[in-house]
Amino acid sequence: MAKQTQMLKGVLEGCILEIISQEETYGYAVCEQLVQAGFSHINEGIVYPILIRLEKKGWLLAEKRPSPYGPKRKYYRLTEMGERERNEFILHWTETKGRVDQIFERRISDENA
Amino acid sequence: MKTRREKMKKSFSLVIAGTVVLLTGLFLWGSQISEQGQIGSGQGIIAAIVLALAGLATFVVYYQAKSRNQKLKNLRENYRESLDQVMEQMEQSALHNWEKKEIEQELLAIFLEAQEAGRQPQSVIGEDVESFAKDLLEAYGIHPGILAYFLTSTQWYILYLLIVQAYRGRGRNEFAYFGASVDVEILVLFGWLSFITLPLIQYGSKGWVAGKRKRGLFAIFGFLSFLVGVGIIEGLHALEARIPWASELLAKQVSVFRHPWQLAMAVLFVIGIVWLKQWLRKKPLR
Repeated sequence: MAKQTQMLKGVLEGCILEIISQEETYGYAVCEQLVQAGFSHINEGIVYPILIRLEKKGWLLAEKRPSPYGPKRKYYRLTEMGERERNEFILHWTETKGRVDQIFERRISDENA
Repeated sequence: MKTRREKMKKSFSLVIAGTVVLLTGLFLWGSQISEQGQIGSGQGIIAAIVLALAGLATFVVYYQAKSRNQKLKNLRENYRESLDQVMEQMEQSALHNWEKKEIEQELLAIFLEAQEAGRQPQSVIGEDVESFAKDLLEAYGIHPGILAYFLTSTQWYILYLLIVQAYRGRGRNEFAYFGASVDVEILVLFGWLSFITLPLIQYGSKGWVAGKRKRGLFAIFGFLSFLVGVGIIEGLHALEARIPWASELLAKQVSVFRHPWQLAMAVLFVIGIVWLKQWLRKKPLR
């Protein structure tokens, strides 16, 4: 379970970088987009620490702006380093996904045969 | 919306804190006057300064909490409770105050939006608040535990020694400035203040103003602990005729910073602690 959570966190980091690369946005909206994409069990409690970690790593830049509800909220955008990490994630993800797909496709074809 | 009961509770806590500070100060001051027939040994003045600082810190925490209540007024009870639970974990951590404020502001923005969407706090941060708080602290590179408490208390202790040196050394010529001697009992009392009284007051006062009555009692215990420390020393004084080691201990004097290099080392030590705290957080110095 712990390993699954770690893997999920890694994948989420990549997804969050991708979402933020498309437009400057804030934590709550990032979470909504992830839920809409099918990560139905994801909540702000998971996304918020990831955003902080990415900001600390220097991959995201945050700017505080007023929100309609009163307190200021952080809007994030990708830094150059963040952009590089995003590209690297896409590369690794595509490779990994290809390999995993290959293994499962082979298994499915063996079962059918 | 803050209730009348909450208002009264906070006013009451302020009055209690103020009274305890005043009584402790008077008690200590009085003991110095009766012992030496006049004020001016320095001990009473230093103790009064320390108490005034502790009292001031309590006032600051109180007013910070008051403005916090104003900020959280639109948050419903269940969300307020969840926010308090998370912030309680943050308060006990080694986070900087500005980081705590940042987290609270950010969580408040998230909570208000979720509240507007008709969601429950559990759907926002999960059922396990402690796990969420742990994730948050890890994201900030925090290592919670006894080390942060020890480092902060040591910082306080060295600060007191520097105050003593500055006070006892004043008025002397540059050659005699160093090596001011201080009673062992004062050093013990400063240790008590740094490692017991102040951490208790800090921990308790934040809990009290956040409405955590049980935790808030720590603030009162903090002040009372100072009286206990003073009481132990006064007790030793009362028994010194009968207990030889007590009179030896109370008669002892220690040179705080005999040489300039010792003073420099103390300052470097404080800087070292600040650096160590930052290093432990795996992040560069700001």
